Amino acid sequence: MRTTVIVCSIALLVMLAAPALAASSREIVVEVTSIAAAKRPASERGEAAVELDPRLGPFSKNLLSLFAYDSYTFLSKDRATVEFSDATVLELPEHFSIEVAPEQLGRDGSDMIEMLVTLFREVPRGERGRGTPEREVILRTKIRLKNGGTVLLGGPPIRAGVLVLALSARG
Amino acid sequence: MRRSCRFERYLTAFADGELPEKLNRKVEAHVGRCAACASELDSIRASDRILKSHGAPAVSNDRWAQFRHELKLELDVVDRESRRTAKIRETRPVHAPVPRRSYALAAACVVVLLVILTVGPLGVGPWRGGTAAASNECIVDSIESLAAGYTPMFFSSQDPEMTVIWVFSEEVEGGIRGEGPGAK
Repeated sequence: MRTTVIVCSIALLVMLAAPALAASSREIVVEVTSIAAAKRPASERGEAAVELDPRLGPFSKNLLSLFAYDSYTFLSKDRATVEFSDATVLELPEHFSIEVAPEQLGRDGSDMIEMLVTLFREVPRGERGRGTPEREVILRTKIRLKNGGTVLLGGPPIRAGVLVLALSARG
Repeated sequence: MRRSCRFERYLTAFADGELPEKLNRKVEAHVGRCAACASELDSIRASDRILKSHGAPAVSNDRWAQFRHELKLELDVVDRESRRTAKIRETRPVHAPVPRRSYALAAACVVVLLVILTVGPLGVGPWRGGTAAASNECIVDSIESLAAGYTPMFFSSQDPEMTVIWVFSEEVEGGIRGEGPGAK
């Protein structure tokens, strides 16, 4: 009787958890935090050496130790769920957009998400003449990111300074 | 076959005057109505009279000793048999109750299941995006820029663990101090 109860419990657990486990292997959650990094003129600098938006708390250690900008402003946070072998496009501030296409998770038994990341910038019509694509590829990179980890992408100029993106993914 | 009356078992004690008062009255009233019990009671009383009219048989001390010895042996056999039966009942229950541990295990499974379904599969907690606490190991397999005026590169730091993919732009080259993205 006791064995029957145990076996039934385990069977129920597996049966009900299977869809969730299967779903976890089919798709990932992507989150992109957009940050404006800038250097302020000496006249605009306040008492604080570095001005950091409190909403950027999770990335403060990385931003302050890796870069020498003295102002970091939170612009937006976007999140999407995307299946493997599919792609999702997130619209970012300042006419940028990012496409994330996860390819696989856990190749060679590692807990890494393999994905193709493309950063686009919208080019206004007529800026480069007729026939020019509306979006230009600023960056295309293929990466393997630790499941649940973050990678920083940045460099393109924006009005407020330089665009920095914190791209996180979890499968 | 004679149908037995439910008062029949009290008749011997009634005849000997050993019943409690209340039950004694009930049996007495019943005997007045039940012919079978009245007949049985008469029979018991007749037997008593016969037994009382004869004296107790004389039994020698040896006979009493033998009787006690045989009685003890009989009782030992009965006692052993009853113990064996009780042991079998204890070790081989027909309908054993389900142990509490089984219920606890089942409850634990349900809790784990709910956690998985609520918090998320294979997760240790609700994910709130990237954090400095997470492992940020990243391997860059390829990198390129198809737009004019941009030069991509990447670098990694160990403490904190982070990979930075940076696109140098001719437009802001003078705006960044140092050689890289605000390199210190």
